[in-house]
Amino acid sequence: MLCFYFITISRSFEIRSERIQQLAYKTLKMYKTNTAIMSTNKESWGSRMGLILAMAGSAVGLGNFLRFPIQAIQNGGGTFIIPYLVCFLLLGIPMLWVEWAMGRFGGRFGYHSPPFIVQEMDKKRQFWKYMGTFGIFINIAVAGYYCYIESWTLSYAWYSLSGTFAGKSQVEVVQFFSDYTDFSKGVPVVTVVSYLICVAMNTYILSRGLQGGVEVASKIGMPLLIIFGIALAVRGVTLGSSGAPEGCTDCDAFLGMNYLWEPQYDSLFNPKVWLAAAGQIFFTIAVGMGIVQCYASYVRSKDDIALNAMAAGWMNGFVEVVLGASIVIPIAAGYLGLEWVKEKAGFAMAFQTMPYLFEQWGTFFSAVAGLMWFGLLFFAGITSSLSMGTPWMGFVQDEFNWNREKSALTFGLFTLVLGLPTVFFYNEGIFDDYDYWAGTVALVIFATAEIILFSWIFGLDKGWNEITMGADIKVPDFYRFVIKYITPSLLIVIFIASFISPAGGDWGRAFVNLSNGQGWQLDSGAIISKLFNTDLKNQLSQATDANQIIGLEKKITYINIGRLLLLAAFAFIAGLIHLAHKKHLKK
Amino acid sequence: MTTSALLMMISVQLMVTLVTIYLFVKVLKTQKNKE
Repeated sequence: MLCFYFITISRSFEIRSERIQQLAYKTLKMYKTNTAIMSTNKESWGSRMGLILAMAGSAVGLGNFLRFPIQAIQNGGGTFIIPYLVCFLLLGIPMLWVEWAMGRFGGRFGYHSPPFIVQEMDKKRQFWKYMGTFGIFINIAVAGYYCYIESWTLSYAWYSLSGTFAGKSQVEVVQFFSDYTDFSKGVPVVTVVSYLICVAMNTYILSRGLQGGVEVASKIGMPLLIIFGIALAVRGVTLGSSGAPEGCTDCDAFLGMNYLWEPQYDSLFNPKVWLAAAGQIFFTIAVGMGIVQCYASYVRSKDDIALNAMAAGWMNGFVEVVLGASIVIPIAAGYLGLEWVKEKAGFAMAFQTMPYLFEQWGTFFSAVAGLMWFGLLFFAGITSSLSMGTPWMGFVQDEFNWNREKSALTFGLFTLVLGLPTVFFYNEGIFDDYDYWAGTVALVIFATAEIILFSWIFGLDKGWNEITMGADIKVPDFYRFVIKYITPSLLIVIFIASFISPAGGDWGRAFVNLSNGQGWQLDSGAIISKLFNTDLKNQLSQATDANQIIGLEKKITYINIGRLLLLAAFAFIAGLIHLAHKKHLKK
Repeated sequence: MTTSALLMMISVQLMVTLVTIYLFVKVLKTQKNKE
């Protein structure tokens, strides 16, 4: 309803004042003069629908099906959707508009990657291009481990088809996954080969370019993902108690759905719930990565971005709220019971539980369901990982005039170098650590910098002009205020909150403890705790078993090496940006 | 399912679905007009 409200309001606003139009023409004239310095990068989108599907594909990922329902359950059930939608309108949509506008703006100057797009927005301060390093670094680091998850979905789709899980108990399916990722007893060939296939597949598709590669993959992948998602969701919401094993009194899909959607209005007054909603919105729409700017930089200067951004953003919301909420939780509750869902629901369910549940549907349907589920996750994964290649490719094509093949190949190699440690040392915690630093913290830093740059340094008048130029919808003036004050404030709050997140995310108790002089107890997931490996060190100090001590020490060492690798990658990319800058100066 | 959970689920999912369809139809329409 909120959205209809905004759409109705939007019609009543007159966005194009004479002054803004004059500014638009003036700016356009300036852009035309500047296109002379454009690179030889000739990429473009084939169609508007292709662009929207690629953008939506970039946002839709495994989190839509696995993270959203778990977050909803842990944060007030049906009520979670209220802060979720509010954050979508105050954080998600504005960030999408801002990033689309930045991208199209940079594209006019011949820039298709974050470093020089953000630099072009503030020519006075030279550090922006180095801040833009995040826009390339995040994508390569995330692609490294994301391709690993993608490779699981690929292997599991094959395993489901070939009946590998037939007759296996739930414990055996869990053990199967542990063996699949365990390198302590030797290298599991299928695991490594599958990973290499995924990286090669991404590299090949990227080498076909935006139109012939990414756009085609999105046009095939997204419709298939939605078809598979609808089929599984229909099964999820109609399952009821038909799959309940004997003696299980709470095995009912409706109980799961009830638990997911039952409003608990008290939670609306809990800051933890609002932070969780803001975090979910932030990570689900793939902002703060540099991908949106990169994709939008290939949009023509007079083409719409406001409606495109809305369409891609809402499509991601549809996959998350409608499909994501109707698959995992109802099916798990139908077979394993509500208590199991309450205690064990989490990301691992995708590979450790779902194959077992599908087996309850008989040989044929389990193979079909497995193929659809892992196929759906695979398409969600590959459309995202492909988008992660484009900022690097845009950068080297613009700045070093590399061709597509060379750009894609170097992306593949870079991804392998950063990703292989997450494959080989998955159980040592490198995978999770990459996800934390590159896939979480770096995003918040970059997004906060971007919104400050756009609203406060580039200037909201120019920024607003960028957002509304060529718009096929009327953007409500209300968003001027949101983009300038609300969205940056929300991002700063998210950043500070993740820095000093209190134990258990319980802010109320943390402030009470602080006022009582009991200090501030940090959560193990807080940035400060993570930085100093506090959780692992606590475990180490309490460990008495020699093997456990050795294991924990090994884990800390590997994690620190992984971080050094990430820092080296960041420094390398920053060095390339510096080289490119020198080339600009010479020109 | 309780009535409140059912109402919450249907209203939210219906709203998200309709808005998404509306936006895609608008994209197609405006594109067609431009061409």
